Amino acid sequence: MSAGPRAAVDAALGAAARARVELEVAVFEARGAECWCATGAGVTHARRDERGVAVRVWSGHRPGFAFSTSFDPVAVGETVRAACELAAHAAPDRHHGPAEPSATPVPQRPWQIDAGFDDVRPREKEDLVRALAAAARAAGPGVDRLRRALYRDVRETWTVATTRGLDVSVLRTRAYVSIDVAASDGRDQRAGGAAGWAPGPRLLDPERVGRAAGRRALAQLGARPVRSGRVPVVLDRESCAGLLEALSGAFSGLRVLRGRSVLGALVGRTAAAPCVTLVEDPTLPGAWGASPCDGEGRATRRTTLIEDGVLRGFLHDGFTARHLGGAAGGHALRSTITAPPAIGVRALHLLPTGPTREALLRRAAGGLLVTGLLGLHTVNPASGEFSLGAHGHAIGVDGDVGEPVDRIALSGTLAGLLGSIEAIADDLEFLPGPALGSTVLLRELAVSGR
Amino acid sequence: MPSSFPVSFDGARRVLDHALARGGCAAGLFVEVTRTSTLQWDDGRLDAATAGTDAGAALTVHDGADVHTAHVNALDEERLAALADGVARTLGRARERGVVHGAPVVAAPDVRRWPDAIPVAERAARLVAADRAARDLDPRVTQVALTLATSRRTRLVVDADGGATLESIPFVTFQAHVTAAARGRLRSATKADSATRGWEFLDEAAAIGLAREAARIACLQLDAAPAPAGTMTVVLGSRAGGTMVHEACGHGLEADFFLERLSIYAGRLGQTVASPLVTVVDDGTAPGRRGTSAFDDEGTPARRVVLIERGVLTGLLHSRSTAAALGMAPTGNGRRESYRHPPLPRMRNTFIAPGEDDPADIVASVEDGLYVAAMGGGEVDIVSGNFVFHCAEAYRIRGGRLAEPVEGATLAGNGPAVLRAIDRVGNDLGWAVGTCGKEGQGVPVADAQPTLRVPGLVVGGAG
Repeated sequence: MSAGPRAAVDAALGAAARARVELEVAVFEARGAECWCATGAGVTHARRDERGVAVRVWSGHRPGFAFSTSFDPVAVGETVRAACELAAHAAPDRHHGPAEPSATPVPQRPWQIDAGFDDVRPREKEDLVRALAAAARAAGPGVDRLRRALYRDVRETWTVATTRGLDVSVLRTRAYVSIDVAASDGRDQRAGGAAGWAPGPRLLDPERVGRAAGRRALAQLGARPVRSGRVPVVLDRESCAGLLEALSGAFSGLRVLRGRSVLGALVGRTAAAPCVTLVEDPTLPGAWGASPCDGEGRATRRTTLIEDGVLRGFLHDGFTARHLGGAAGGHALRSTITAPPAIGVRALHLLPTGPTREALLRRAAGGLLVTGLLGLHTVNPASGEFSLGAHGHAIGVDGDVGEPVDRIALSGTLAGLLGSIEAIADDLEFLPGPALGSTVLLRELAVSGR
Repeated sequence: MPSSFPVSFDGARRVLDHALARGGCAAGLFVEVTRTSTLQWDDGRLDAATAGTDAGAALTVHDGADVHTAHVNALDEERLAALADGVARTLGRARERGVVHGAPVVAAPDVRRWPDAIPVAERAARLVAADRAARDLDPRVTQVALTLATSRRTRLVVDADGGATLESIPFVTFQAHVTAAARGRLRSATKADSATRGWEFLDEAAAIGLAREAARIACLQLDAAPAPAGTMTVVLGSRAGGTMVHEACGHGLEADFFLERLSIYAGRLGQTVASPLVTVVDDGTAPGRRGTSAFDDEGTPARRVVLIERGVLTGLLHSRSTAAALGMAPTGNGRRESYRHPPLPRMRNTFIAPGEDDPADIVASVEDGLYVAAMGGGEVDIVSGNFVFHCAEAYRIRGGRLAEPVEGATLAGNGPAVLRAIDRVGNDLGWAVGTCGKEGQGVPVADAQPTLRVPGLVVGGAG
């Protein structure tokens, strides 16, 4: 019989006591299923069964990290020993160390667990995939090819324990659907995609996701380049979320500490237009990345990064919080056992300023509605510069969504982008990702095309 | 067979036999053990040292058009048996076939010193030297972050038709990220190199060279003007690497996109799709390159595939399933990030073959344009062929000469249109490395191109 997760935790803490080092152990278990289909192919059914142990040790404030995919106590002991050997080569820093236990218990969030998760049979999951594909095709006769309709679920448990006595576990269930299709009209062909998620499969809305993907592909047929210039720009919710996620690195406390963020010197000063309040809130019910505790086991918290245009702070883990003194941690992300936790976002979003999407479009008459961005991973969080590929629609004189446009390059800086925000619609969408999206009106951006 | 590898060929065949006990027409087992160690240098010191072993197996059984697959990150008999049992249960019929015992093939890479066996102190010495070199280059350098990742990826691939391969692949990757500051401006640049070679790949001079190059570009950006916006003639220098060919053409020739008629190139085999000056090759056998291995992740030997020859579309990149569906031979491009992911047709080492022009003549031929010396990342929309990529180092061309540096430039275009527009091809060739993303999987690749002239590209910039 294989060893369980508690045995792995105990083995790691025992090995740390013998080696006389501080230690944090994270134990992960996940089981899940996938199924997907594509044009001309059958259905693929996949199952996942994973576990792992990650340990960080601090020996004289020198950090070392190692991981293993075995819960066997002997293997865990060897993993701790490997981390200790690595720590001997690292530089000491008195701000390193494991988290202390919280004064109050870390609560489970019931809305992150679907009680009916295990009752759903494979055939029902396959039906979700077929419903996705059918809804996309129903968007219009031009939707003629299916790249992939996917269903994926996971039940996962993370346990984090430290030699300081912290010991927390978080269970969550998650179900996800996505679809990518292509549409054509005989002269042109375009792609469209959409995704959605819920704590369990029966809470998903595959028709809405499939329909959105089909409509996006159809809407781009016949797109042409625009004329270069500086124009008002409206970002749709997906583009807003993508851009927020790409720029989130500029708010990392570690980047600030190491002099690698353009925002480092701006605390307490104006960093955005007065209408901008930017919040990272991992406690937000219904957010994809929400969690009661972070990757180091600390309770998560709502952190206001920008308030009414003024930069209020940064995101911290235990190390940067201790370094900067007085700052609160709780923003360490641990997405895999193969790497130590790192500062990141789970539910980054802009607070709405009020008007509707339609009102924003009317204010951007003659401008550009962006519905897709390419190259988000090239955004530079140090300088805050971005230059991205984009597609979308021209905005008519009455704010109507006009002809499709593409092969556009959008350029700017983080400061320019935040300073250019004029309004944020009251249409926050809980997308499957670490940032939430709202429709955003920008006074102007540099647009390159014809 | 390395004595330390936890699953034998016979053990893998037993798992396959178990999986086929209740039906299924084909099956394969992929077993992988990856040992990694990473040193991170930041703020003038060794900031983090990590290591670990990721081990797991993926089992796939084909049942007509449907596929049943499962993975587990353990290699003990108990959990491998459970893996096979789980897949067999979903079929629930009588056995339809057995497992053919073919002769196993073990690849022996040419490695002098395996990177996973190098002591931490020896690896850290490279970082010390590189940090000093970057800081000595220019007083405006404020931070040097270095990453040295070494790994050994060993995978055993066995299928029910008799295929059986085992290969260990070494990886050494070094990345320098340098930040420079002056007059309230903050700029950074990254340079990296990576190879499927032993520790001998990264001597001290190589590490220093990459760190100094990152420092030079970061400092250059401090004085750079915003890139111009609009349509202009662009010269892509060979030093820039092959991001353009990767994005503009390579993805569209991965056969799954072709098979599903999603690629802009679908149905165009044998047709002219590029300038007659353009020949595009993907070479999985190029010694030591980041995308090289003897076999792909389905056990097919790697090959050199000519994708476009003098402008005519001649080949595609195949996994086994796309090759079978199109009635073609697999090309050794069935790749997976790890046992957690299914194999897909992927690029390896992709390049535009050198032409005949002197690179200096190509620059001299442009009155007013943009010269791209280093590229950042990029992305392509397969269906429309539209792509974008970021320029990490670029200069204006004025009067046939390189002029002031510019920053923040992005090139946007359409793959087939750009390939047709290329009108000068240099006689040089420069490589770059990267990690290519597709359907949530990242695989190591290299790409290259000679100096190219492309009239009429959209340049995005704030200037």
